[in-house]
Amino acid sequence: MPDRNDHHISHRYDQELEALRDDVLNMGSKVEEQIDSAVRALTEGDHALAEQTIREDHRLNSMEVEADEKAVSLLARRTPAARDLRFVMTAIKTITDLERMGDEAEKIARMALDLTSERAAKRYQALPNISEAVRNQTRNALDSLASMDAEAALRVHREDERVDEMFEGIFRELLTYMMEDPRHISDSIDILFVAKALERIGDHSKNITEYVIYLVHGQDVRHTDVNDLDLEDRD
Amino acid sequence: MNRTAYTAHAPSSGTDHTNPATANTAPDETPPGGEGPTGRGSANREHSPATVKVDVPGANGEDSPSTVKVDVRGLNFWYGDFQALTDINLPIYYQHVTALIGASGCGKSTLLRCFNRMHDVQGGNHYQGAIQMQPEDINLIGPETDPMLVRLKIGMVFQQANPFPKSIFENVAAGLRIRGIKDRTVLQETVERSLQRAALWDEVKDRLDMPAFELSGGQQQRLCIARTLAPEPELLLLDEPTSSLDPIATAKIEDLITRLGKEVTILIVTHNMQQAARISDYTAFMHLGELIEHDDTETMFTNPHQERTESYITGRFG
Repeated sequence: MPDRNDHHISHRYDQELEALRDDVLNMGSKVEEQIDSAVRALTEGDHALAEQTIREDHRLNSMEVEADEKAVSLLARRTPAARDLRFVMTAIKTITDLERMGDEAEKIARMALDLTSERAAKRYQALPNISEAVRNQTRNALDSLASMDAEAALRVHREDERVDEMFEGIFRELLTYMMEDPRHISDSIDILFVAKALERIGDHSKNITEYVIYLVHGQDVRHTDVNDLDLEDRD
Repeated sequence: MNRTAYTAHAPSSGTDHTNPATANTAPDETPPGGEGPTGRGSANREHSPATVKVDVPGANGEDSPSTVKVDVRGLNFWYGDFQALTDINLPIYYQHVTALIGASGCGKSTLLRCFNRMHDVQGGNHYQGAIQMQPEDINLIGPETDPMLVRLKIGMVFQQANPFPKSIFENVAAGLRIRGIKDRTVLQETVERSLQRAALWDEVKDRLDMPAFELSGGQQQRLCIARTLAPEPELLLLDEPTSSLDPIATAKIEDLITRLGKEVTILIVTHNMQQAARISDYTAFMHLGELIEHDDTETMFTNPHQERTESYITGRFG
């Protein structure tokens, strides 16, 4: 990992890994920014902010392409091994998740443009909770990546269950609401889409924490029960 | 574990160091035909210093892929007063490729050369420990073991191709002739089969009488591999076999090693880490005469357990 206190014999190699790491972390900051803007545009009914968020998504797309190119070049020219290989793999996978998180943020911003009626606004009440939880989850996942902290990643990973439960709660609530009065169906479905987008962002954050655990311990924890996880330190 | 210590003696008979695998042989020794699964080596077993039971080929009458063909146990080696290897423990798995990697001077070639007693030719060299080869359970470096017998069972290929100044046919047949085989049909069949196994047959089948030196460098190296394969060695030692070859010849040899690794037990020393990653099933990393880590190649190159292995294979300072 480039931030360890040792260096490759080739300094250029160190610089290339560092550049890829910077790209991924910058992309992460941009995604956090996009999620914040989208959620704010929605809850504050800010059309201008919603439009700006939608316009900004293309920046994430070009960041994705650029970071991917760096990763491919590293694989082709340096044939990284061991933790360098795991780092490049982690970067490639994280980039994909970040780009999709950006897409979800864009979706929320588009909803913000449509969902401004007073009637709908009443239904947002449940959303600030889940959006706050997802934003925290995203920030902590990216922090665990920046500091290569597998224990922190594991904690964030376990938080995802809470976000899923929140989504279930919103879903049940909206269902009751729609059954009470069919005129609420259209707005409720829009809100449900927003909640689903937030829940998906949470899932992508969870994926990133799995890559961090792989990066640090070389252990693939996808599709396993993290509660059973026994992370061991190398000698 | 019993360990034996003794001073190596130079072989008394004339030796040809250019290819001990096929040249240092006694005519009345074991004919080619490979290892028998059972019934051999009982005499050796009586003198064996081994007391540690390992899962070995032949122990239950048959060889299976997961078994240990050669087991290095507590091996120390000295060049005179200089200790070049310290307490090496390493299993070499049957019909698999094991790669030895490490920086220059780490002892990987020294270790490789212990297997066929090449160090014996220099007086003052000194072994301690055991290299047990199955199924006979011979200690390859045991004082009771004849180095000639060892070299009959073990083939070796070097960095520089070293064909004999003879025809292609006679190069491959050399190991058989020295073992007293004169039957023209047997010789012809074995030469053809060995050249095919070395992926050289199609290129030389119409010119077997041509001097070996007229072949290209890569072809000469494959000829040396064919010559080593002809007497059906139980273990094939490769010391940097591609370091003087271009990338295409290297790729051919690598392909060949991958294929041969399924039928012969191979131990290869290589400077090229990526080569070890490409062709070996197991990789052992050595540093300053010690074995730091040994694991399956996949693990060694994605998630080694030792920091020093990681530093070496990722190109950091050790």
